[in-house]
Amino acid sequence: MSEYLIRAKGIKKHFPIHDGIFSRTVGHVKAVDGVSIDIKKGEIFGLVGESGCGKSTTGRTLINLIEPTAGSVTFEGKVIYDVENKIAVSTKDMQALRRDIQMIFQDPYASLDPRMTVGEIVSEGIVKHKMAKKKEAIKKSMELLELCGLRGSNVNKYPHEFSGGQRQRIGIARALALNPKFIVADEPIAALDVSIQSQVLLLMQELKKKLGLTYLFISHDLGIVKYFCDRIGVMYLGNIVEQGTSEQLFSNPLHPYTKSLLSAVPKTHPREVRERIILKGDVPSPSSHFEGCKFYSRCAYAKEICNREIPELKEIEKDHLVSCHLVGSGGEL
Amino acid sequence: MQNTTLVVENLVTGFKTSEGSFNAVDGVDFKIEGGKVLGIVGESGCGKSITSLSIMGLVPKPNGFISSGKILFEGQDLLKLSEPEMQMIRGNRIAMIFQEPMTALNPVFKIGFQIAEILETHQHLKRSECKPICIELLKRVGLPRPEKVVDEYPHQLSGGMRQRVMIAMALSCNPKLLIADEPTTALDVTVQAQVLELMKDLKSEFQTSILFITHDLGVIAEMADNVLVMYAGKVMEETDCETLFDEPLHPYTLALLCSRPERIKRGESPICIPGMVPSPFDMPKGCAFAPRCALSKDICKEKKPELKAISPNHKVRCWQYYSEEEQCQNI
Repeated sequence: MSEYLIRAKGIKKHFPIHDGIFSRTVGHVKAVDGVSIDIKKGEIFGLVGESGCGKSTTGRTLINLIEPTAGSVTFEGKVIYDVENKIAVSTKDMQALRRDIQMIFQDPYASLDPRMTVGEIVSEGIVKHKMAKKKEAIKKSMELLELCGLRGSNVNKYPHEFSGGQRQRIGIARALALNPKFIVADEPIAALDVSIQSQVLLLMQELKKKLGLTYLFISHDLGIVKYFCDRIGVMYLGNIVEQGTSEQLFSNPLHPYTKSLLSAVPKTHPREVRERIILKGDVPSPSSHFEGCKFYSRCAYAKEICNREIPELKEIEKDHLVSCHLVGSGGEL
Repeated sequence: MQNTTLVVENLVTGFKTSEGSFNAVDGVDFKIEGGKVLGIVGESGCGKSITSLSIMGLVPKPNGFISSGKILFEGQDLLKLSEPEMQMIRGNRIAMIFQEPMTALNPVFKIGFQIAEILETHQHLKRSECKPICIELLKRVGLPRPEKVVDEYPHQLSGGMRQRVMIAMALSCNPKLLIADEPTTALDVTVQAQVLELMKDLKSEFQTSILFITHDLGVIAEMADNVLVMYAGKVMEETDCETLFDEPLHPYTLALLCSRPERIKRGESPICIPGMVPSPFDMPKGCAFAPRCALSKDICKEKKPELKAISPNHKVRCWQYYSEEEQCQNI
């Protein structure tokens, strides 16, 4: 029916700030402030941005791991939540949905329980969802480990016996245990060594082909996102400022923030000449109040209108969306 | 040639553990000229950080020990100095920037106090004289509102700002040698670009030599004049930065360059190095890289190759670059 697997509209997550002896709410950290993402079946959607821009919170709010403040998400045409219309799936239905939606975490040292064997870790979901008895589940987890390039006999070992790259493979095997359709990978390779990073990426790519998966790939590394993802969203302070296919974004970045982000990537060769757009200052606090564009204070091209009006995300060409007053309006950039 | 800041000769640093002892750094030689940047690249566990700690005399005792070698800093052998003498050099003429700005600063002292501590020790200034100098230092590294920052605690600053404070501290005594151990790994790309730019400026301004340790070849391309590629405690390849990117000789260097994500075209599978770094207790008999090397031959598994000079400024440790006769003689 629809080519989209998951559609999110205007999702927001505001965390309250408490202060004073009565812990009154004195403000909100707007971690995610109105993000809309549509991810097609079989696609890898990348989410990039600096730390603190809300990429991880977006990933978690999207799959209902954190309660949303606003917005709606549909998965395969089924509404997971719609805050405005006060619709939310029941806990039971959500549990069933969790089979289809899985997550790979950033830190393979923190995300595996040190007191469980690898077999227990991988098969936990299978047993929980009563898809098989424990013995069969362990057998299944052996197959999964082999699929992820580890020996099946490792089921009786504990996580500390493995290196970082191997642990991440265990994390991937766990995510695959319930035959999911959609996987949120939150910086899955940030904690790994260079030579191991490419091994894990290769594995993720093979599994996608074999099992027909769809990924949301959260990363701060533009180089990796460039070749790994089909479409990319660039986030800044809780909003997507530019979105497009990988080619569009890297050959023709339009938003000033995307431009400076791309120019900050280290050179690939010592003789390469690269013009740097060095951003001034630090990222403003996400709890501050913005009248206009959130990037105004650091933007080299800022005009008066940017401080006054919030720019909307508009489509410049097919699939390429930008939220900047100066793009497409004939403004000089 | 009188301008050599640091010469390291045949440095061997070992560790004693309950499982036996091993050499984390195994016969490393290099030198750094004044005002130049030497980059050391390698994966975790290849001995790059231990090399830098050996130079600073900060190898964890009593388990770590330097068993042989020379570290000549401006002609003086640092390994022969007593601890008080070393303290006079450390933080003064040789300074270090650590990887984690979060853990390297003391959370219970104000920024100004932590910088003043160095000035009091090495430049014998009074506490009251330090504050304006601190503000000046913070201004030099491009921190916004330095007058406020001196009275703030580390937790009030962002990662990039903390790293700048670390750099300000390292530069407080105008060191001749700056050791930067993965200074930008914990930072975002945008902040990384700012910090690298800052280090480049300071290098050209004060003729400071920099030993730059990283696993990111992009940062090497950006910063280094000469490069050492390390693997399992040994130098695998040594040359200037452009040659390394133009004609890498060692299979490990080649694989590292190829596995960089920027090099891969969309839709193609990444080239990856199979396997992992060998455990220090279970080193292969021959070349340490042989089990992961696509080009390994019988001799690679049997005997360790020596570092061989291919041209005056290009050395490589690989059997491929030995003639058949030389290989036979060695067996």
